[in-house]
Amino acid sequence: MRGARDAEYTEYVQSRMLWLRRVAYLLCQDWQSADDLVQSAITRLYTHWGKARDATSIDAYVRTILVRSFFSERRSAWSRRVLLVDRHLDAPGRSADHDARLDVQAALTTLPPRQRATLVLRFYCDLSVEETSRELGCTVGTVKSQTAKGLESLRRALGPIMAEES
Amino acid sequence: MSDHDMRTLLRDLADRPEPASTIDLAAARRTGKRRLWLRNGGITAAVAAIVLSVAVVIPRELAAPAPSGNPTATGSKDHFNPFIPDAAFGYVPPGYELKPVQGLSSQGFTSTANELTLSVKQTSGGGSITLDVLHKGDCGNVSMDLNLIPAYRASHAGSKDPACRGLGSGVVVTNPPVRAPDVAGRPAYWLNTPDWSMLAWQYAPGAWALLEAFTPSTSRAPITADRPVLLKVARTVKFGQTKPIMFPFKLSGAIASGWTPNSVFFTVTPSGQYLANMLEETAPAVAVRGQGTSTTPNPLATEDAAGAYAEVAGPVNLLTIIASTKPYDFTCAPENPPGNSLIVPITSVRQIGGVSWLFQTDPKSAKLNGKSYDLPTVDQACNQQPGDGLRVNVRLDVPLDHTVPSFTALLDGLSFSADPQTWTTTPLPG
Repeated sequence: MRGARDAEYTEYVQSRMLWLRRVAYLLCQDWQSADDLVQSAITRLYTHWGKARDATSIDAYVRTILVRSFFSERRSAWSRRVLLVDRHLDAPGRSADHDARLDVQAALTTLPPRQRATLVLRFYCDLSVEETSRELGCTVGTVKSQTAKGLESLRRALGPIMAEES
Repeated sequence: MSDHDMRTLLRDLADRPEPASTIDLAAARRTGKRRLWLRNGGITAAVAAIVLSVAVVIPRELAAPAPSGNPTATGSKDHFNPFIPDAAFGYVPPGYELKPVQGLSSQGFTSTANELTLSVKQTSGGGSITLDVLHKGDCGNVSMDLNLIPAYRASHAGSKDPACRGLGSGVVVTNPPVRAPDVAGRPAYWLNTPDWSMLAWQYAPGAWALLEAFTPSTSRAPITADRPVLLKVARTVKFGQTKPIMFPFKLSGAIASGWTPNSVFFTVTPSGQYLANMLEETAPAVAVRGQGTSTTPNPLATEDAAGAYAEVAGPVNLLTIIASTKPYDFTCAPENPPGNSLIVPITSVRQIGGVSWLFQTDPKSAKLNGKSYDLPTVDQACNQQPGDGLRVNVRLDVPLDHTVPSFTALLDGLSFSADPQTWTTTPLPG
């Protein structure tokens, strides 16, 4: 019985690993922290697998764990505020696309975590305002205002770049 | 910026080629299982073990390295010296190297008064083998596995440690233990799960060790395929080692009075040097209540997905020192959410050559005797800059009993060197 539980869990996590990493990356803005976040989230998912399996949507359940872990770790884990990076990272060759990505990433990084999470949930996970409010545990009005502020911040940061591209 | 633009930007960003994953699914399952075990009855024992582990005062002679060339009596000790790992791998399978396994501790190998954990990882692939060595009479974190072995239970029958008395929950190990060929003339057992293979053996009277082999999930090899390898690894584990861990600092006398070296995390250089990268010292009076469910000695650790904090009863002083050979970059949170819930630790950093040393004292948040403390603000913490000397982010009016004066004394007593050859093996005052 335990083996069946493990098999189900493993199959699910393996099938959704890429999606989990990408959502985590958008939240954290660096792959190292993203992998740490996913590691923490899938560990918690294991302990709650019974509930997750019975949930209407396992994806929604694990996404909630991921987002709450993101906020929780930003509050509690001091080590998450300390980023230790290799001195000589293998940097890919720079290109116009690469520069644009860096600009977007830099702009996203300046957003407060809650605003960033709101944008990720609304525009990457394609959640409605109501679904996002449930996910974040806040009101619909807060989601709307966080979305507006986030978009405005990005517009200010990326406006000149986007104007050039157009 | 339209909604469509935002969707396009995020998808472009997320869909870029990602680096190789460092996520360890097997470790997630294993840690999850152990948390389930704790939740299903082991928690009381675990919390008791935490208090016990931090309350015990290691005799001074134990905290000092043993004289070189004077091997200790393996298995006859009641505690290990955290500064001298008692065991080392002998045979290591081809393609494996001495390297910490993610999920056990990302800080390095673990050496405590009760337990030593070492591991080797495949240089390419997800395989790993972890060695847990428990001192005589200790049940450690693996008791739920080992308690399924009648001989193990018998050897701990008189133990006062509640962790030693619980039977296996059936969560971790799904099959009954099977007698394995003896290891060095002592009884050994296989404990297998669908995910990994374990070999437990009594390496000395009343003292047990455990080897766990993780097989990559992509491997279709039967789990029993690991058995010959595990047996060979077990038979060559070297006990009674005397090589000390080296530290680039020496603590002042003020900090060490009554404090206990709880855990040392260390790495091993290619030339075989043991270099500390984290030391946890705990004050003797530590108690935990509330929602803390962690088996780590950090009283503020929480496993609650909602982010609730454990409350701390009484003065808690946990000093954590972390070093890294990587450059230091302090990532600040740009917001301070309503309710001032963003917590900033009391942290300082010092850059020595290519090594970054970070200092942190706990508690960093939560309540002490029901009272919330006004810890440094985000701005204060973010004003720190790497590589420009020592910054101490401590408000002197924080009433944390002797934490602040001790912390100050500690900093005064530190001496550094970037060259490991000059590091000390006696980080505590003699």
